[in-house]
Amino acid sequence: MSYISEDDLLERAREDNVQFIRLQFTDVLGVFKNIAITKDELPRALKGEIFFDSSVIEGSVDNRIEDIYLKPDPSTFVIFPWRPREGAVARMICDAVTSHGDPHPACSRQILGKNLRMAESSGYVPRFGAGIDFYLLQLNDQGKPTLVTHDEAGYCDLSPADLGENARRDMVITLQDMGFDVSASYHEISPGQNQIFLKEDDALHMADNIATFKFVVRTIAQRHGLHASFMPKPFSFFNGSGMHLNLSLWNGQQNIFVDPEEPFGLSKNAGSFIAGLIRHADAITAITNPLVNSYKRLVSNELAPAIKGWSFQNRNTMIRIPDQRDNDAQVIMRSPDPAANPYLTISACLAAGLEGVLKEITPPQAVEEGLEMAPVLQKLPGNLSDSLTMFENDGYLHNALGSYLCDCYLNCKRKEWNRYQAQVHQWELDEYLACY
Amino acid sequence: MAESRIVLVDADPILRKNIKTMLTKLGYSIVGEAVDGVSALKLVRSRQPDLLVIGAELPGMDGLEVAAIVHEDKIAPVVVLAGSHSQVLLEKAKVARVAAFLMKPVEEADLLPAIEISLSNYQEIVSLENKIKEMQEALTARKIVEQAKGILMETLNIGENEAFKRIQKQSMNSRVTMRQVAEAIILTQNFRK
Repeated sequence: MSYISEDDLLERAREDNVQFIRLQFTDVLGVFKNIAITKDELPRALKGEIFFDSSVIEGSVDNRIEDIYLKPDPSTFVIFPWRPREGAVARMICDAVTSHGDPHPACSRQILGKNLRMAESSGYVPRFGAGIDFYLLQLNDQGKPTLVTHDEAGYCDLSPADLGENARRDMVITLQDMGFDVSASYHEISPGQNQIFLKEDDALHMADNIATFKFVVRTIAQRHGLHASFMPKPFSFFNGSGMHLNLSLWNGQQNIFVDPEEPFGLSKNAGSFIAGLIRHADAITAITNPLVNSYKRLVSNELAPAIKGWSFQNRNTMIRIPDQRDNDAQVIMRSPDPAANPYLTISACLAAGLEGVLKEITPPQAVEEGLEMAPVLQKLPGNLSDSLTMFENDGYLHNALGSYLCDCYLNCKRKEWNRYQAQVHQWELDEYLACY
Repeated sequence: MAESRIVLVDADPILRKNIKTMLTKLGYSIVGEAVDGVSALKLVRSRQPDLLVIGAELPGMDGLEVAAIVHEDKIAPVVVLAGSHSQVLLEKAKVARVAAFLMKPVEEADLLPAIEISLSNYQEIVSLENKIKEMQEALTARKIVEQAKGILMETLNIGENEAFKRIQKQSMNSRVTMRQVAEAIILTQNFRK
């Protein structure tokens, strides 16, 4: 991570003629928020003197009010490349602290920081990459998104079938201008579905990058007259959108998932890490698949990563191990979707995996059968309510994420589930109205 | 000038028809037409015209919002056709750096010079902007190389010329720019602190 001094930053802002700075932060639910300040406020902001109402990060507004202070991380200072040079706009990602300067318990970015320090104290540093799917959808003449996809192309198709290519290229160039390491971008399997892969980086960077990524992709899509949707499953009959996390664990220069002496060239640590993930899989799902809609992506089909298990080739397991070995060996978490809070997702996966490593848990056998054959107990929770219950009962994860944050999260998510349950849906009318 | 390619956007079909007739008669080629802002944006991106003629008042995303994006992404100069010249509209037109602002109904005698001047000014703006960018990059690179030179002079106890030569040599040997070599030197120095 690069450290940049306050003076350097002020000078850079002056040189690049920055007029506005957006202070960005992520709420408990994973929504990227921002407060815009003028350049004159920048020195005050750098001292962490900009404050706001805490409900903005807790995800719900209640009668209690408490101030939070935004503490910007100067290393995240970047100028938005799509804004004009005369009057540039920059951003910094912030931590939320209390008036005493302590981390606010609902600030997921600092919870990730805490988990990273825990891992480091045991001698482990994780690295994460992320492959994120999204749909490019048409806007109607009023500028509102429709369910019409942008093209009729398929897996890795070339233009002219792939009309999103222009927009996607612009996204990749913008991300690179902002210092992102984008390793691949291509058309996904379903019409209008795209994927961009963010290359492995340290965990905090990757979480910041995922949050920024979604915001940049939406902005650029809009500038192309399109809407980019990260909704996990916008179409019943097309594939859902996932957020695959490629993770590896390092001790200095050594990827500790590798051991040429062991079967498959994978170390005992790799197995234990997977075992930890599987042990907490049900509860993690409440974080990695946070919407009512997320679970529509996990229902039976040949691509749904809904089995609590691992494999080399089975696309139905939540964990897959690709063929690369040596320092490229990694574990791919396939179940998360892009609606998840990246800080909490990475925290939860890391904490669960580390428990496996530290307690040397033995992993189960690889699962080769498809989802149809899997017993119920081997599947991830079938809906948000079930996963929230599992999450509520997982003391270890509660401890890793902090009970204050978990309470905020559960509170918001339970309400979301109840709102969904209170609605009569079109499907029910179609299915039952005439029959009963 | 070779036949310039123009995209024409307005919600009013009669106005579009009239302007299209004028432009075609004047020797321009209309490469696309749209009635709303979102379609205009898509059209401009896919056709990459030499100029955009767009109505200010459009359903959904308005013409000046489109003009701002077209300016920021340096796609083409924009001629705006407006039904009023309210202060709000003028402010937005300034922010979007439109090349010309014409009042409806549009006369051929106004349209031709507006388009011709927009096209020729735009060429110049683009080439000036590129020059500025090049110079800025050269300046930044020089600052970084200077800083790296200072580090080498101090740590290796060598003269300025020698320090410059070493950076240059390293740059040639490893086939990267002198700026990249200098950045690596500064980064290494930061580690020592």
